[in-house]
Amino acid sequence: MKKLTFSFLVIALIAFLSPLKAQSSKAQEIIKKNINEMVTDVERTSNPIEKRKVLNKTFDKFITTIERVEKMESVSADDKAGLNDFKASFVEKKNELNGLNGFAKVPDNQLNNYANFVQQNFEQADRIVTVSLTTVLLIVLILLLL
Amino acid sequence: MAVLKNYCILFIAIIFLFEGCASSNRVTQKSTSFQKETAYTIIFVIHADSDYLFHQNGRAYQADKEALGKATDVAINAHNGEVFIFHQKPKKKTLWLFPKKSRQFLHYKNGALVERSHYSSEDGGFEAEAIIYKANKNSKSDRNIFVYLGHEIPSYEGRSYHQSQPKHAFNSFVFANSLKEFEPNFDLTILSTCNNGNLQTAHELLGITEVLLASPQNLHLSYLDFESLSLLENEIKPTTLALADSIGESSFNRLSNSLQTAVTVSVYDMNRLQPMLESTFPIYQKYLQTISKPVPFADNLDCANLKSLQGLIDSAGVHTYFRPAMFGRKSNQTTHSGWGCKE
Repeated sequence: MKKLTFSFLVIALIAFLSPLKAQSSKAQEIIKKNINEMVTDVERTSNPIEKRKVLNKTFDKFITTIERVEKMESVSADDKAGLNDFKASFVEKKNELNGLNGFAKVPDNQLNNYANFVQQNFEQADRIVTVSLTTVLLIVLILLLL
Repeated sequence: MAVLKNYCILFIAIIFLFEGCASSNRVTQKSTSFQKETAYTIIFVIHADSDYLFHQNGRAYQADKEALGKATDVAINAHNGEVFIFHQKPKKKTLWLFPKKSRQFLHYKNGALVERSHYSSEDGGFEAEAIIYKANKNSKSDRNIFVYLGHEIPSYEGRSYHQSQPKHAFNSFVFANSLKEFEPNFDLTILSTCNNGNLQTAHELLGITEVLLASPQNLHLSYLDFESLSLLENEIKPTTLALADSIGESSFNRLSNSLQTAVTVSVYDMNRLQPMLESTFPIYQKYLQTISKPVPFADNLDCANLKSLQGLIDSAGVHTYFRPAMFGRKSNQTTHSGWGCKE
């Protein structure tokens, strides 16, 4: 039943995002909008603890989403590799924020710049994530549900 | 007889009605300024058939629309030039059946808009654009400049580059051949794209362009700046290399003031680089074959850090503006060879 509901949701999302050729762009746009909300929230608060919280929460949200999609049987090996790269980029950014894995912790007075760096880093790449349309739609779907 | 007269009036009225409805895209006003010789020609091709959304200061922008604004500014200020702007919007269909001419063409001569029309394309390159260009260009110019704004021109295959026409391949080989359809060679080619300051693109463009301006790494979607093209209006014209340098420097200054990511803009003197490109490119090609599957659209590596090319990469003939990223693993990098390589 759960699978059926999930499949229905995916189909509904595909139909909602018609025409077909524009779906990938729209899905990538939703991911970009999520990251933009993070930047806006970081800049809105003056409290560095709050800023870090927003950044960590966003990175965790993406990492959890990608891990859930990765576990799905229907996801191809190529897409799993793409997802792995996508997840690694969030893990790397989380490590730098918190000063882990050889990184120096991002100073409190640099957190706004860091949020912008994350956004620019994703947006200047030609594709934010290189996976099939179905997989990117799954990411968006889970992202919206979290 | 009266009936016949009425039919005649009705017929004439219908003709006038349809004449009125037909949209004539040619701007018919003629002024003496159109008769002036043009000193230079600039062709802008702006790709829009993909995801071009980016944000700055919380606001959303579409890179292609911003680029169209920049190109139009150049065109309006080109009092001694001729500017062709092609906006490659996604292919659309009326009622999901009938193809529409969704791409836009703008033609400015001596700063005035002389034609605005729509067209469609059935190939991955610039065949349609080149046909329009040849049909409309009616003056000889001393300098030809080509500007492409879009995502990275892929080194391989390039299917799905045009999202609404995924079967039409677009890659550096198609790009270089398409350029020849406009003019046999260009003085300056500007690639406002990610990662095209690479050995493959430069090698493909040998003999087609004298000077190349491109980014060997990722380039932000706010693109390069083109105000410096107004130097072509000066009485004493800059050399093409000096012009490219000016565009590179002003773009670099703006980008490095507004971005936290790395900014890399390079000017390539193609004649000077020819021997190096001819000797190094085959080695790079062999290296590419050893990569199992290059990740499409992944940021380049500085070729100077690539073992197989060490000692072979020559930066003489390349002028690079580089500022490392403010964060990330590569924030300590202090120099850049000006050449980007796949890894």
